[in-house]
Parts: sequence; C-alpha cells; structure tokens
Amino acid sequence: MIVIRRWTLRIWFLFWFLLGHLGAFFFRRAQYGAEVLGLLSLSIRETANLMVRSRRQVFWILFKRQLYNSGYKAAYVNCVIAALLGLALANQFTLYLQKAESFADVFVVVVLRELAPLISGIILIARSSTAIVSEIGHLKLNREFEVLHSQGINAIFLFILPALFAFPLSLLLMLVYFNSVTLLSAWLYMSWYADSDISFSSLMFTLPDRISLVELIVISSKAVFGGIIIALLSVYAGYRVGERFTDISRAISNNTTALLLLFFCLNIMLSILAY
Amino acid sequence: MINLAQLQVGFDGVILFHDVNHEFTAGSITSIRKAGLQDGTTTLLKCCAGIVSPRSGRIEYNGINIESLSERERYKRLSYCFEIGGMVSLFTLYNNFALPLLYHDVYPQNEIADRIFDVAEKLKIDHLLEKEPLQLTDVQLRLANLARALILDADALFIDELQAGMSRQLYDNVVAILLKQAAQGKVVVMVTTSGDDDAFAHHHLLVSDGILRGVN
Repeated sequence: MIVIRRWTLRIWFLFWFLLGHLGAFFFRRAQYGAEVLGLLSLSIRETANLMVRSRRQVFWILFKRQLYNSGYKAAYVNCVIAALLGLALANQFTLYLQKAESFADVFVVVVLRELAPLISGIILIARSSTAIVSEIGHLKLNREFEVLHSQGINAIFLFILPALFAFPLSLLLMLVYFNSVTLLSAWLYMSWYADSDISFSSLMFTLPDRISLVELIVISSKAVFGGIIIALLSVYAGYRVGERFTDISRAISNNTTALLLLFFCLNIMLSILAY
Repeated sequence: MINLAQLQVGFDGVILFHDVNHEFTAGSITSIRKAGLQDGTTTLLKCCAGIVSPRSGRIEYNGINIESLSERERYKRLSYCFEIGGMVSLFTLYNNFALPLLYHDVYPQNEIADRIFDVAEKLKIDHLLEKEPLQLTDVQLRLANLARALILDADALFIDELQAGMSRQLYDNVVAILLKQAAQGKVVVMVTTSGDDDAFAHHHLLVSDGILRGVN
C-alpha cells in the first residue's frame, strides 16, 4: 500500500514537473512572439518619420547600404547556385523528358514555386541575417544604443526600418535572377551538351502559360513576408544580446536556427494553401 | 542655465545622490571633482543631459523641465560627451557627426560639412574624419565627443573626464576652446578626476556623501 502510494506520488510529481516545463516553454515562445509583434508595431509607427524630408534622406542612405549588402552582393552566390541547379535539372530532364512544355511544367513546379524562394531565403539568412545580428549585437554590447538615445535618434528608424524594406526587396530581386539563371543554365546545358532540339524562344513562350497571377502573388508573398520576418527577428536577436561577448555568437546561432525553421514553415504552408 | 532641484539620482536600487540642489549658470565652467571610483558623477551628468531620468526631483533648462522637452529640443540644447566610446561603430567619424544633424534637420545640408571641418580642424582631428571609432584611441574618441557638441553649438555641454591621457599642448587647446564657449554664454559642466588640471574652471564642486559641495 505504501509502495503504491509512493509511486503515485512520484508520477503525480513528474506530471506537474513536465506540465510546468511545458507551460514555461510555451510561455517563453508566446512572450517572444509578443515582443516581436511589438517591435513590428513600433517599426510601422516609425514609418511616419519617412514623411520628414531630412529623415527620409537618412533612411535612404541606410536603405541603399542594406540593399547593396543583402541584394546586390548576394547576386554572385545566388547565380552560381542557380546555374548549378539549372545544370542538374537539365541533366535529369534530358534523361526522362524531351518536350519544352514538360520542361516548363517541371521548372514552374520545382524551381519557381519551391526551390527559388527556399534557396534565396537560405542565402539571405546565411549572409545578411547573421551580419545584422552581429552588428546589432556589438552595438548593444558596447552600449551604443545609449549614444543614439543621447542624440534623440530612434534606433528602430535607423536599423529596423531600412532592413524591413531592403530584405523583402532583396529576396524579390534574388528570385528574379535565380529563376533567370536557372532557366538559362538549363537551356545552355540542353542545347550545347545534350544536343536537345528545344530552343530558348520555345521555352520562353511556353513558360508564361504556366505562370498564373496566383502563382506570382504566392511567390511574391513568400519573398515579402519572408524578408520581413528575417529582418525583424535578426534585429531583435541582436538587440537581446546581454553583456557577455559570447552572447553574440549564441544569438547568431539561435537566430539562424529559428529563421531556417520559420522560413521553411512559411514557404511550405503558403504552397500548401495556394496550390 | 541648468537648475537641479531636490535631485535624487541612482540605479538598480543604489542611491548615488540623494538631495542635489545646484544651479549651473550660463557663461561659466563648473568642475565636479570625483571622490572615488563609482561615485555616480557619470549618472548625474547623464541626468542633467536628459539621457537618464532621476529617481526624483527636477532638472530645469531655463525654467523648463527637461523631461518636457522634445527629443529634438533636448538634442539641440543639451550635449553630453561620453568618457568612453560615445560614437556608433558602424559609421565613420564624419557620419557620426553628420547623422544627428541631418536627422534633426538642425542645419542645411550644405552647411553641415563646413561646420564639421571647421570644428575638426580646431580640435586637430580633421585627419580622422574618415576613420571609424574602433580605429581611434581613447583620447581621440573623447575629442570626437567634444567635437560633436561644438558642431551642434549646444547651450550646455556636459563633459565626462576629458583630460585623461592628453598631452599638455592638446589639453591647453581644449581648455581655450571651452573658455571661449563659456564666454559665448554656454553652460559647461565637467567631471574631473584626481590629477586633472581644473584651475581654469569658474566653480569647483566636490562629490561627498551623495551631495555636491562647493570647494573654495
């Protein structure tokens, strides 16, 4: 009887222990989500400053810098990966299918809808998100936000707003040149190496028929929402850095993991809902 | 004129100053001599500049509570010179000076460059304008902080430990500039530490037991 009561107590204790930890887990996630939403609402409020000419000039300088770093400088790695993907796709295509219409179908379903947004997002996370977390983290570590506050400058206007506009635009740009380079690379492989009869013009004429307005909206949404999420979470992760040097590397690591999961979820969910 | 009335300053549950009543008059330089390592002078100066809020009491600029000033007004009137850092590492020295001026639309754009170069030449840091803060020494950073305040032409300068590490010649140049600022009717408040030369100041205060005492 005593043994049974002891085990019952242990199970009971274990149950409350697990419940407490589960509750704490979800509470921390909810708190995190609420703080990020709060940051988004503050950022939206700061857009009112774009009506002021002098502040618009400051924003424009920082926006161009961010767009250059995340959109233009990523073009090289984006195009190389796109070219390699095009080669792989064309190699498989010439083994199993031979018609331009079939290739266009495969291209739209595999590359345009899924791979291009995913790979472009991964490149943005790997290159630009980590850079932002590091920059903001160092500013926080060195108490430089206090310097901005002493001069009456809102850090959200200075750091979040440019990224919130630049990241979605960068992703859209990367989608354009990723898809273009994949298509070109695939065709070059098929015509030069595989001696295929498919002309570039026939590919270009068959593709538009397979791309609907819904398609474009979904792909653009992946870029816009994905870019906003990456920008917001990266700046937030950097700002949460404490007073230890190792906080920065930890923030980069945790943020990259979280963003990869979130970005994949966003893309897959949008695809499932739309198609 | 900066007036401190029944000011209580502190953070994290620690009271640094419990009853400060003092008036920093326009056209004068006040030296606040530090008593020890963590006597709260930096926090006091930051309160006067409106960067941190006091626990209680009032700080008035020409009769107006500084808490009621807009960010732009506070930036234009009250300037704080950091003891360490004080610049944003992402930007060059030039951009650190120009950014707040542009943000608050203090001067026309074509005037900003002239003002920056003019003040940088006076403080002999014009050759550092394209460098980033992490490339500078601590003395150069403190001069940069002072330069930012002078470029802005703020009414009150709160300077935290300026002298440390400066050569005699450099410091004499800085003192001459500060005396000129005072002569133009500015309020200059400096925190000095033992060994610093503050004989040029018009008033001397000592931090003692959480209050400011005048030194004869």
